[in-house]
Amino acid sequence: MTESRRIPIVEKITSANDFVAQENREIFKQNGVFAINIMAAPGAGKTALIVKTIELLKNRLRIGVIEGDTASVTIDADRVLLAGAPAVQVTSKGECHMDALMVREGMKQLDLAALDLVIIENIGNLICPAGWDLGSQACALISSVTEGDDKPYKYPAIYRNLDVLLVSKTDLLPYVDFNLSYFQQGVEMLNPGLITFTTSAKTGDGMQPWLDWLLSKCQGQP
Amino acid sequence: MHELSAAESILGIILGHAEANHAQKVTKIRLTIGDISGISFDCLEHYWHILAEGTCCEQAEFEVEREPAIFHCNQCGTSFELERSLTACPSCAGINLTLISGDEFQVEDIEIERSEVI
Repeated sequence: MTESRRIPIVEKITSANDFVAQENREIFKQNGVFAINIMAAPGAGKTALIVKTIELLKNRLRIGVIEGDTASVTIDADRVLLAGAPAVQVTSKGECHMDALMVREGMKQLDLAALDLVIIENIGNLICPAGWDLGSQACALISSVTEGDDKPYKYPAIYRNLDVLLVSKTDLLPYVDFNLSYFQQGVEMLNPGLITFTTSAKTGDGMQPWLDWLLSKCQGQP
Repeated sequence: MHELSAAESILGIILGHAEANHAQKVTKIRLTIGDISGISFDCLEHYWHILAEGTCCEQAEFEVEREPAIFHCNQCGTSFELERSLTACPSCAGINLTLISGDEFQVEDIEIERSEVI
């Protein structure tokens, strides 16, 4: 005889990932590392901004980079290495986002005890990375002015769990229709009071407040 | 889309509970999916059938509860549903909002069949 029965579960579908993410956060903390997950659409200028950040901070912070890529193309990692920071690449084998296990793979290849800051460059995508905690202490989004000012309205989920937002490629503002106040109003609805920096990695404009923010985080300020 | 890894996670969660409860077969799976969770159920189901084949879950039916994305306006207290695009509060045009539902993505419960314990 068989019986039917209902088994209550009530478990977040990302629970296994969240568990690994929590462990990652502990490992970063034990090593005195501040880790930041940088998300953005493809072409938003993630690598350019990371490279500029390394160039401007490498005399003050020991920085390592975990590069998430969908395939084993090392273009991004090569650019970071050239800028003078250790970079390891982890591939998602076609998946659209990084998860905590991928980050763990990258962490194993870095000498964490010898670093102050780990930058995780997520896979270019505005939807999927939003739901996956990597175990970083902070999440950042880079939104380039060339993507348009309607992104918070179209991709609300990714703006919700951010600690910091970087508006990038501001040197192109004279050539594109990007209404910063309309953009910021959408952000405000999703993430009130979100720390926002407007930057150009190309000219260096607006980089200093972002660097100061990173420095303060690496010194353990809340 | 990330439905493949979502389907893998669901299978992992359910197989764990099925084994712990000595299930021979999982007959029903109830999920809650929020409207702004970014999950497409059709896509999820497609991967599910590939992954669940040969497991005790392969014949399980899904029951999906959608949670609408509801914002609460902190200025005037109105609650409203996000439909097509993000908007300010329809009553007072306030933009100080809190999302109160819509990003859920979880397994609620499963129904199983098992040998009756005598």
